[in-house]
Amino acid sequence: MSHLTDGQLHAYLDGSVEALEGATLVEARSHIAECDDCRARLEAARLVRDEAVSLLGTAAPSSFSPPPFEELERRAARVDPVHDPAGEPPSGRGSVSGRIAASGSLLRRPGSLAWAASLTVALTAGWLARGTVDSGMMADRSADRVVAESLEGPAAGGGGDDEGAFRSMAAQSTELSSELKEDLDAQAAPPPEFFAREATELQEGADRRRGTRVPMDEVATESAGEEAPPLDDRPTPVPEDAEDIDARRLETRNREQAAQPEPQRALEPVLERAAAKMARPDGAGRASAGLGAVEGPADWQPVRREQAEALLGGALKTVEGLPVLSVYARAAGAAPEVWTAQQLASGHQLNLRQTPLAVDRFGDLEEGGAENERDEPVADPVSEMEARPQQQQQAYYETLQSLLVDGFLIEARAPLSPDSLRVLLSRLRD
Amino acid sequence: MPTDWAALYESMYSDLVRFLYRKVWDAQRAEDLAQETFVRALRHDPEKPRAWVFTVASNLARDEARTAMRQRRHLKLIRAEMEADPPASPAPSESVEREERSATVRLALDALSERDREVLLLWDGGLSYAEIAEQTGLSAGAVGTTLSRARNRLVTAYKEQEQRNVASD
Repeated sequence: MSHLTDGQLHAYLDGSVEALEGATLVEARSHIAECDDCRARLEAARLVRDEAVSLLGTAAPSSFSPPPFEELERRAARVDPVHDPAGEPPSGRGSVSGRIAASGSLLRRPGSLAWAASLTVALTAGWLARGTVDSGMMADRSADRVVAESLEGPAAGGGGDDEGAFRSMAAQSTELSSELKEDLDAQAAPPPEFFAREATELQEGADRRRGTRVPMDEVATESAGEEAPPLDDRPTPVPEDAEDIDARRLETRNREQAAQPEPQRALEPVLERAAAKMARPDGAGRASAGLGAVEGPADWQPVRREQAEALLGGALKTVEGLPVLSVYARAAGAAPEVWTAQQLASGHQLNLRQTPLAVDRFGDLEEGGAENERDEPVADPVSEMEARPQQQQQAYYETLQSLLVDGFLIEARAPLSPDSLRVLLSRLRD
Repeated sequence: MPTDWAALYESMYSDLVRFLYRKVWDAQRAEDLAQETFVRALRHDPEKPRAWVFTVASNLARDEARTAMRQRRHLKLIRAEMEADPPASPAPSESVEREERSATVRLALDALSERDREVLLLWDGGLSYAEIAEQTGLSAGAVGTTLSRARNRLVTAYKEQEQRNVASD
């Protein structure tokens, strides 16, 4: 017999005869007794197995609190198999819960059928009665009006005679029903002037959008005389006030910039200098810093680590042991932000976004506990990834996690499981 | 012959909770999922109860992980562990060591491929090679090979992780 494979050795250790792959237990035993090599490998395999068992033993809850079996039986019996498609075993074997709750189940079935029948009858009745609803409503409304009038004063022609009053009320009711019906008909069919007015308004609206005002009859003449140009040749309509809108936006932005606090404005020259340096034709800024291997977000500026730390007013946090590919920064909102890309062993990227914690923005953290919803909309990771260049797309899924470290809010994004990312983030260092 | 579910529940419960715990890493959740698995098993009364229970448990744990992943996609602010849950009193060193070891084992398990991890956990949950083969679609012989590889990788990954922990301290 040839030497035993690793799989056979482990199967032998585990007493799994069926996994010995052709070799019988007796053959394997006699071979091991004769072969020093296989015996040594068996001992090594035994050590590995025992160590694996020991390791797995530590990754287990320290105590269990199993509920009584009867409680599970009650839970299993609580569900009606009619409403639980998975409750019927495909093998046709009797369900335990079915046996437990057999009587209840049988009793519930007619109830369910009755309920379904009631629903069917109601729907059918509703369908058949749909034509009489309007007239019924009108009759109710007219009757209400007659009763109200009769309460306000003596009925016309009634003369205190109950029968006469009743007849008068009936006549009024019929009259009012006719009036109401006419009103409803009028609502259902607008007068011809309505259509003319609507057509004029629609045309005026279209003219306004086109920027010119052309009478309806001229349009009709033109369209009859010449062929409309293809869609691609038609000029794109530009709103008359487009320039005004741009000017207003510029003005607003300038006003906002002027209103920015002093520290933030002081950061901008730093960013500009960094951008200018990175834009040098010789690429000295990137080469000397070893940065720029990966492009950052579109509207961010590449910076050196020292510059990033100057912007942040503290140490740049990165995961220890992972190569830093790029550092980008921007001064947006109330605080500067630094974006760092680090290389994972898998070839993907870990992206970190670090910003000083604004107390007014995250002031509720003390009350909120460990996990709080962020108070601004979160960009859809998938959309963000699609917007990136192809070479920067990492994977079809990403995990986002945020944490507070030394007064900084750090958002981490990587194609890792949440647990792996959390462990990685536990190694954030200055 | 009808299955003695009470006996099966008693003998399998702890194995199943351990199996689930290594997938969801939350003791309470693992127990909840184990109970849910047994409730479903009682409703279905499958012919191969042990394999069925572990298959359903595995599916429930996977659904749980997907739900967790979806929830995490909504950006949450997670405080650093010390800030979020400062220990009220210093834990005994034995307990700390156990927790550290458990965390390292967890990382080592994460380093395994999904199939290796599944086979290893199923075997540790008490399933036979034949049952594991049926559940995973492997042949019984391949289960031995996979198990051998998974054990070796677990031990190696654990040692590597320990070295990294020491280096970072």
